Amino acid sequence: MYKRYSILLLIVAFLLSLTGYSQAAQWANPELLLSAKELKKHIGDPQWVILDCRDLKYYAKGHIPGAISLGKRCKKALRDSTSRVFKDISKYERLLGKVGIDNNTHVVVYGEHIKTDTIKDAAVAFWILEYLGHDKVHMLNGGIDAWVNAGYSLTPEPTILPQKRFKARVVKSRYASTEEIVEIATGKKKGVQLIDARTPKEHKGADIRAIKGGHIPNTTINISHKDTFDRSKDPETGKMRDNGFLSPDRVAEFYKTLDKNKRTIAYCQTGTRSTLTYLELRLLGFKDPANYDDSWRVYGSSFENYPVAAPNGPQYYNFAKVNKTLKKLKKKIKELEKKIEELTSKEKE
Amino acid sequence: MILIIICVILSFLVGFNISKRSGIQPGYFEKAEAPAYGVGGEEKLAPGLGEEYERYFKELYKEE
Repeated sequence: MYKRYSILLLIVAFLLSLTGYSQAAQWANPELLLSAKELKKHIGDPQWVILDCRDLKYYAKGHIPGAISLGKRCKKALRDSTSRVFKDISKYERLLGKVGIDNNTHVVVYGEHIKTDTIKDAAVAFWILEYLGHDKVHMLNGGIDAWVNAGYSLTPEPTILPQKRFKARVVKSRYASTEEIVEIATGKKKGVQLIDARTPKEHKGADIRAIKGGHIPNTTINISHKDTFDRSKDPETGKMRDNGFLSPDRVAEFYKTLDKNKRTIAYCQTGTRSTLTYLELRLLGFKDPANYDDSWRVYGSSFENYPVAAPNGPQYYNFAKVNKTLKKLKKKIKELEKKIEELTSKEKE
Repeated sequence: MILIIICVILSFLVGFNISKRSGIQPGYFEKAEAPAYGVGGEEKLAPGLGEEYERYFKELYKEE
């Protein structure tokens, strides 16, 4: 009797495990995302370059052994001062070659989630390298936090690699221009999915960061980039929060209503957060993903009268309110200065 | 008068020669001295990185 139950139990357990296995989502392109353990295997491999996307001062304090830096945060190093991609592609070729990257080099980009909030910077590097036609780019899942949590050490010793030659083969489709977005917004171009990677408040026009607030008409879905990260208990506060890791189950759930065969463009405020959306689309196997580099900062501030959608109609940045607040602040500063003067003169007496 | 002209020419030639050899323009404070005259020294990219690396990261963005 006992033996029969044991066999039955074993069969049930086996079937359950099969069900669970078949239900767990998988990345369509798992090679794009590396775990700390997988990255460790490539340390010291001359065909692999690890790129620290944080500010140089953090790199100087401690980084993954063998990692290089571009001397600045990746989003600053790889874009011009207006946060747009360099128009002069040869600038990328020179910079990447100088730091030791050629077309055969595997590049692993990483940022940091909590302290420097640079997972986005690594995503910018990922998108730009893919835009330049580099087909060997990988992201470290969970950033440097994942490396430290795995018990691996950091080093303050900088790494300089021998120069190489990088030749860009720009994949134009990975970049969406304002012209294309206007065509989608006005309904002239159909069959394209638009993802707003900003917060719901920005999407609705309640948080305005350009002249106009709201979103691009014909936006398919609003998926805030931070929501797509896994969540875990913060050891300091004990509260649940996003942890910088991407898992296929969670990410796939957000994009389940979208068609992977259609062109899919992500946008946000500056085209930075949306590069993480781009990475997720690539991981999930979307056929034609792109990043709208200009994003809301350009679209929402244009004098071309681009159409804007919002639940309560297009919203406008309230300059009068800001001016009023500035006046109040100026008044307060003057009062404080006067008080300081009075106190210092009393001290002298 | 002639003596003054000779002195001016000589001092110009001596000054020009020093400037040519040292590469320092007349009236230019060397970087090391600059902060003492109220001019800020060159900002370090990351303190503790070392001169060689500082130079390397600055060179990365220099156009050929």
